[in-house]
Amino acid sequence: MPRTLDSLHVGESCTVRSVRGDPLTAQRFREMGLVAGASVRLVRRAPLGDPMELCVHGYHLAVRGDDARAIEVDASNTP
Amino acid sequence: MAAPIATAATTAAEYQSAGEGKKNSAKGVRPICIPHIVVALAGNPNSGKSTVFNRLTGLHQKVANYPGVTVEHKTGYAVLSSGGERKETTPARPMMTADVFDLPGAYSLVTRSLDEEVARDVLLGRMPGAARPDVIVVVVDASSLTRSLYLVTQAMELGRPVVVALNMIDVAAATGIEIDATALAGTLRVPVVPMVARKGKGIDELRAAIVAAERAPAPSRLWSLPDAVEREVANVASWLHEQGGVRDEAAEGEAIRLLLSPPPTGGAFSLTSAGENGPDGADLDDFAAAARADLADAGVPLDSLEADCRYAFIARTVERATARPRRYVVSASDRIDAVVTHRVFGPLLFVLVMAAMFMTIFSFAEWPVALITSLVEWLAGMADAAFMALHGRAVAAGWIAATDWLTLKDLIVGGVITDGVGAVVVFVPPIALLFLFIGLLEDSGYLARAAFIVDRLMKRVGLHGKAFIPLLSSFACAVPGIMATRTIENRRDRLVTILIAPLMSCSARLPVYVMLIAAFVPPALVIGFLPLQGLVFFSMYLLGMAAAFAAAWTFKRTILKGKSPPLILELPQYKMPSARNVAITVWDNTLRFLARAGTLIFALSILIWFLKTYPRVDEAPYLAAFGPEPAPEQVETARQRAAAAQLEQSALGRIGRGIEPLFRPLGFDWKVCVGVAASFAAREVFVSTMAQTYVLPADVDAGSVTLIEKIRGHLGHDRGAVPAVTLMVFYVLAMQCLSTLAVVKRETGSWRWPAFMFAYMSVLAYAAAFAARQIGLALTG
Ligand SMILES: Nc1nc2c(ncn2[C@@H]2O[C@H](COP(=O)(O)OP(=O)(O)OP(=O)(O)O)[C@@H](O)[C@H]2O)c(=O)[nH]1
Ligand SMILES: [Mg+2]
Repeated sequence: MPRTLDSLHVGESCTVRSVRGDPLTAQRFREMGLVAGASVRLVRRAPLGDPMELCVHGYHLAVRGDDARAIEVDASNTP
Repeated sequence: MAAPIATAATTAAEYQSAGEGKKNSAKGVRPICIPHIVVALAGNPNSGKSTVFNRLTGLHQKVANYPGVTVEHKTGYAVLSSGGERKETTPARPMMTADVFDLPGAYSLVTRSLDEEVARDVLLGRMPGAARPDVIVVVVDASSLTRSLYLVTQAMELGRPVVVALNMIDVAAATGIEIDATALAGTLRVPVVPMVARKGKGIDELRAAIVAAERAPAPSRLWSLPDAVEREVANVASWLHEQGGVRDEAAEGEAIRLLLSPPPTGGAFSLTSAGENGPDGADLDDFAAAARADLADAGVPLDSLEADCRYAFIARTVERATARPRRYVVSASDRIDAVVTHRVFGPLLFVLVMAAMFMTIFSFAEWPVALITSLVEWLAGMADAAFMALHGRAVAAGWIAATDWLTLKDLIVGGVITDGVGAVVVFVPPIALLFLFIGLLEDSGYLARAAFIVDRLMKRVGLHGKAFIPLLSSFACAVPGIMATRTIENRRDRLVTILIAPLMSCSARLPVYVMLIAAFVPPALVIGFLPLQGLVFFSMYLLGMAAAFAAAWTFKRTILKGKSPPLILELPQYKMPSARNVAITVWDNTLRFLARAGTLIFALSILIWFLKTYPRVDEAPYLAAFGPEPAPEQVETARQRAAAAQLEQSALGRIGRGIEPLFRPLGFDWKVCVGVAASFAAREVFVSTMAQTYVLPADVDAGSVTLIEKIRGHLGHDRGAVPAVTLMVFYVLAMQCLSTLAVVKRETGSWRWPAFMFAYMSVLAYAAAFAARQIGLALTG
């Protein structure tokens, strides 16, 4: 089982492998830079645990854990 | 909102000619001597498009630090090159002017929400009434260059010259990112202008670049797809070109969207194919579907291919043009967020910010209000004196009868100055303060964080955190709030947000709250330091919010069921709020409030004055009741009785008593009923109606009766704050705004939703006010 984006710890980085799920949503995630090979870091979670704040290509993006589950990732080798 | 839009009158003819012969566009065929072009400002949300627009046109479109500020396209007139005679040293420069479009932000031309659709339609020349742009300026946020270039690559496929405005290089530099604009321009093969739009840096260069680009050929596509796909793209492109009459330069981009974007609902593929010679939608869809099926059979990952290939090109481009810090730099923005979105401090801060905002508005509003009140009184005194001074002369000259002169005086001094417009104008200070706070919140970047923090709660009621931003804007006025819902992707969620937006207390309710609280809530302190009045004031806003959440919860479970699309919200970096932006917010909105006072409220005050003054009641019988020679006190008493009778028997009194039974369960007397009814035209009028319908009780000295005393007189002291609270609850929840209903009609396309909104809010307001009264009466015994 590959890991999905929602399982990241705060501060952890990973590399996007693929985006699944609803095609239109997946398209928008990709357009926002979550393409295969992109490096993503979980900056923090919102006070109530959700949504999560990601850093991708140097900007900050909020997505919900539920939706992040559609994004498969590989753990980054660089800490 | 109210910014005047300067559109060059001379361009109407050109719009027409551009519409007829799109192919022979700008070049050569212009009948007008001064070249005039159409420039569109595209770009991701919050990249600074409106800031650039304002600098180019001198207008003041709303600018703020959150994505989704601009939701409509706006036009402005700009002089790109003022021209110059040929001198010995300088060559002649042609003069050039432009219509500039400020567009809503978009992340991609494959749109997800209404505001993005507006941007796409204008760029493609499909927006009715807007000519297809001759030059496309893509405003790019240098601090998130990679993502911004996605839209740039798409814009380069629209068949028009592109200029990249590399904005916010100051923000990028602060995080250690240096961008080599020349290298970027070299790779993209379009001009790149580094800018700090907020400070006006780079605007002249941008103007020059637009002028130069106008004659440049359309850019060519620099990224490539796998060979098999390229062949198919070429196929579709030539089909589009031959069968569909799509211009050659734009056909390829169109073909890529057709083949590689997931099919949108409704099959509205024909992106560039506007106009009578566009391809037939059904044919096109069949053709594209067949091509997609072929590619899918060949094992091409259709869905991810386009983004992957564009980003591969972008990654190389960015690599070549930027130097970034070796290690991750913790920006000031990150440090602020560590507190603002902290697990404990975050929500606490959120509540504190809101509470402090409303309590400050209430407390600090007092002395400026007092100041303006004395100003109004002074003005009334002057007017009164002027009338008295001219009295003798006007009457002696036979212009006017003595009694008519006094009636006129009463209209001007009482009906308009003190009790009409004046009663409303005194609320300018708290309203300006409200907009100061809103301006600061909006331009700092906090709004997006607020949406981030409350998303979890919004999820409970079935909405997005994103829907919170339009709701917060509705504290100013529901009309822009409802416009701002255009950023919400899903139609149902958007409707729910529209329906609840007017429950947020807007600035027109503020005078009603301030007045009722000042009159009925004692200025005590709670737990030693919290002002009770401020707390009650804040509670009214909370009540509105709570009602909005409850209503959303209900709608999402009944009439507007459905899953929300995913939340995808960019959190912009914090910025020091710009004094200019905040000042414009305060100024524009205060001015709008004053303009309302000077027009609508002025007219209503006069109307109410007439209704309360006619038909006339004669004073004589009341005087006669005291015998032939009444004492001075008796004269006064008789006058007051006459005034009371006058009001009772006036047209206004009759109207009021007609409505009274409807509101009797809420305990409103007929004067309050009149105020409530007049509020449908403008809520502020409640205040002036109260002032106008006040009749001095017999034992009060006529000298100076303040507005607050008048209100006390209306609602009575005996039941404490109960009548005032009942009335406020009613005002929090009632739909009393025609402009809101009109904008809902416009945004939803039918009268059904505004009618529903009016119905549900009226029922809610009535029921809640009734409950508040019963509880209040039970508590106070
Ligand atoms: N530091 C800095 N801030 C800027 C610059 N240009 C714009 N801003 C700020 O960035 C924020 C967004 O600017 P806007 O002009 O509203 O952006 P927009 O692209 O029109 O945004 P939307 O209408 O939401 O799509 C505002 O707070 C501006 O003051 C710049 O060059 N440097
Ligand atoms: Mg804007």
